[in-house]
Amino acid sequence: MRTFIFLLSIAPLCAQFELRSPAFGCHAGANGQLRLFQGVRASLVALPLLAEGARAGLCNSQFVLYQSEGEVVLSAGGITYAMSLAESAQLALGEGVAVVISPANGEIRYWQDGSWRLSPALIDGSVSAVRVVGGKATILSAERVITIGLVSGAIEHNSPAPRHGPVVSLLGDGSILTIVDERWIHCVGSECSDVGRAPGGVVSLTPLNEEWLAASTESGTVLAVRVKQRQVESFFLPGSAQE
Amino acid sequence: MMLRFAPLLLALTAPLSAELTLYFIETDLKETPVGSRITMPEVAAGDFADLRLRVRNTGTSNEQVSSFLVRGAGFSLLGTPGLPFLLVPGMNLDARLRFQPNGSGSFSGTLLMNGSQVLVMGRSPEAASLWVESAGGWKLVSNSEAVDFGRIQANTISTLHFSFRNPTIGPVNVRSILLAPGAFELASTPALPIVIAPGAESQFAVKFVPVRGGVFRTTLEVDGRAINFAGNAFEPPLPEPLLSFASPVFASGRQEALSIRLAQPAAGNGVMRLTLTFTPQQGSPDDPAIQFIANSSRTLSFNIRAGEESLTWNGDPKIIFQTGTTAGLIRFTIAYDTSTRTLDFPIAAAPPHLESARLLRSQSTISLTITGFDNARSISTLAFTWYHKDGSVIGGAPLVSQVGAIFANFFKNAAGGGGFAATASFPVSGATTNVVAIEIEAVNSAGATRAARITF
Repeated sequence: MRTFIFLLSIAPLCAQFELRSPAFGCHAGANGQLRLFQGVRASLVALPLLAEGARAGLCNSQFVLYQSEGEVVLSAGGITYAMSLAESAQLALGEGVAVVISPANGEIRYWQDGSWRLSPALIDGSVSAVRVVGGKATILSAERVITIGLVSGAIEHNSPAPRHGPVVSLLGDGSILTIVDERWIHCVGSECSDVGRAPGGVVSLTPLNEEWLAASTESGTVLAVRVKQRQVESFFLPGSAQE
Repeated sequence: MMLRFAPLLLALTAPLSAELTLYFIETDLKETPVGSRITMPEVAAGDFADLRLRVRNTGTSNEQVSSFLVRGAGFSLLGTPGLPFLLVPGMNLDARLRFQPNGSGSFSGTLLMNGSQVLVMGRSPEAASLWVESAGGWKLVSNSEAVDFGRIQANTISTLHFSFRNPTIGPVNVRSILLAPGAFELASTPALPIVIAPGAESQFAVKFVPVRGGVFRTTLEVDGRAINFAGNAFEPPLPEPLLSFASPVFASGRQEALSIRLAQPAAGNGVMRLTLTFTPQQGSPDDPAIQFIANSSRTLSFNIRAGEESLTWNGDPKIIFQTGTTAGLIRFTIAYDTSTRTLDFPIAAAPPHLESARLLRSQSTISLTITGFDNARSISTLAFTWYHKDGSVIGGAPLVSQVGAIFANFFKNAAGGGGFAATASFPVSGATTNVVAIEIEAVNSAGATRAARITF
């Protein structure tokens, strides 16, 4: 389908449309099952990608990245790129890039253009969350928020981290969502605001996509949550709620 | 109780005839020749004991068993074939010799086969006989059949009265009465030991108290004698389930709660099975996202317990389901006992829903990705209003794309309901940085939706 439009009154242009089923994100459950969720908010279908053994998992329109026993696996276009790693790592996915931060030694490995590489940057092992935008990784540790260039290893941003609890994650826009005293706290830079009451027993927050995070509770319930207009929206991920 | 152990044998073990030999069959199937006397195991009055007998043709020519019977009170021969019975060499016929005294004392009889005789003897100890009330009278309890407490509703009680009677001429004792905990309970028991004078009786009662439906069995032991009890219980009918939705909004793209309250508290236990079916509007394919959240399926089973007033899933009375992204009718059906109740969740066709939009700008291209759903699966046009950084509308009017054909083709092959992610790449000849915002309008058969202005 080609649609001719005029932009900036310069020349007729054409738009190319591509349609696909919306992919919402991936989640590795407490039972080690890695599931891909397709659809839109509150109407998802879960497709199992890995029956067991997944400690963590992410996916976007290009990649599936997960950690299983002893290795991190990136699946891109039907090809898998595995990397040995015993300890639980922090994972992140961006456009054309995947990042793995080892908590044992702070090494940052990234996948780009078909291979895993070691970034010159080293990070304190106590990494709480990581997001990747472009070729840069934003890393949240206990005390700092650091943005580094993956290839160069250069620190491009370094600021104190806002007060946050052990359950914390970075959103796609670089803001931070955490739980403190059973309240959702959303921090943009150093400005934090209370955005609502958090469910009880949340044990982890992991990215589902740019906007949404998966909040896993100790009862097995998994909620998708996001911050919108200074409030937290949530819904149940199918197959996990009320279990 | 059937007692089987080796009887006392006399040393004399002559065959009954020249070619036919009578044997006991031991529990290990070993054959032991019978002598001139058979002593049966001792049993209580009313109970029985069996011995397995075998007649074998040990000769080399055919033999005929023309008579095989037992005479004497308390003795019977069971399982014999029609006579006369021809036995070829090496072959046998089997039967059971039963001793079932109707009172205490010594008993004797005669086992007869083809004119040969064997003395049979039995003894019933001087003990209390046990009787149970039956059809307005009393019936001697026997190990040949279980005492039946009947078929009753769970959580109700069936009581039977029993009587120890002394048919002897001297006093008898009952030293122990044991009943394992469970659906049967001793209701009233005299202090033990019970001494019963000749001709006297002592009564007690047993209650059958099933807390659920099913078949129940146990054994009452009286001075080591085992008496079988049986009872059958059925669950009371489940109360009518009343279905309701938490929200009056019937729309796609939501997670809604179904509540199921019981018209009365459940009087017993049972199972209710909740199913969800979906009939898409206008012949659309099924929408797999329409499902229960709890198990990602369209069926849930609930175990109802006595006293419960509503259905819960792990304690939560809200049964969450997804409404999917396709217009149609979701029907909830709950089946219980032999009845069903239904509640419909109709979803009307609605204008397209735009969930998210994302703009990416390069030097010569602007890429727009919009995610949403069209529950009527009939998007026909997308209109884009581009804004210049000076606030003007680029081109002076929205640019309308007729996308009906590509969306129709997409939905025809899509298995994921009415959801879509559409990426449109707009080549730009000029400075893309001058483009600062866009408004999108999507139109389908049910109407139009305009998304909030999206800015870079």
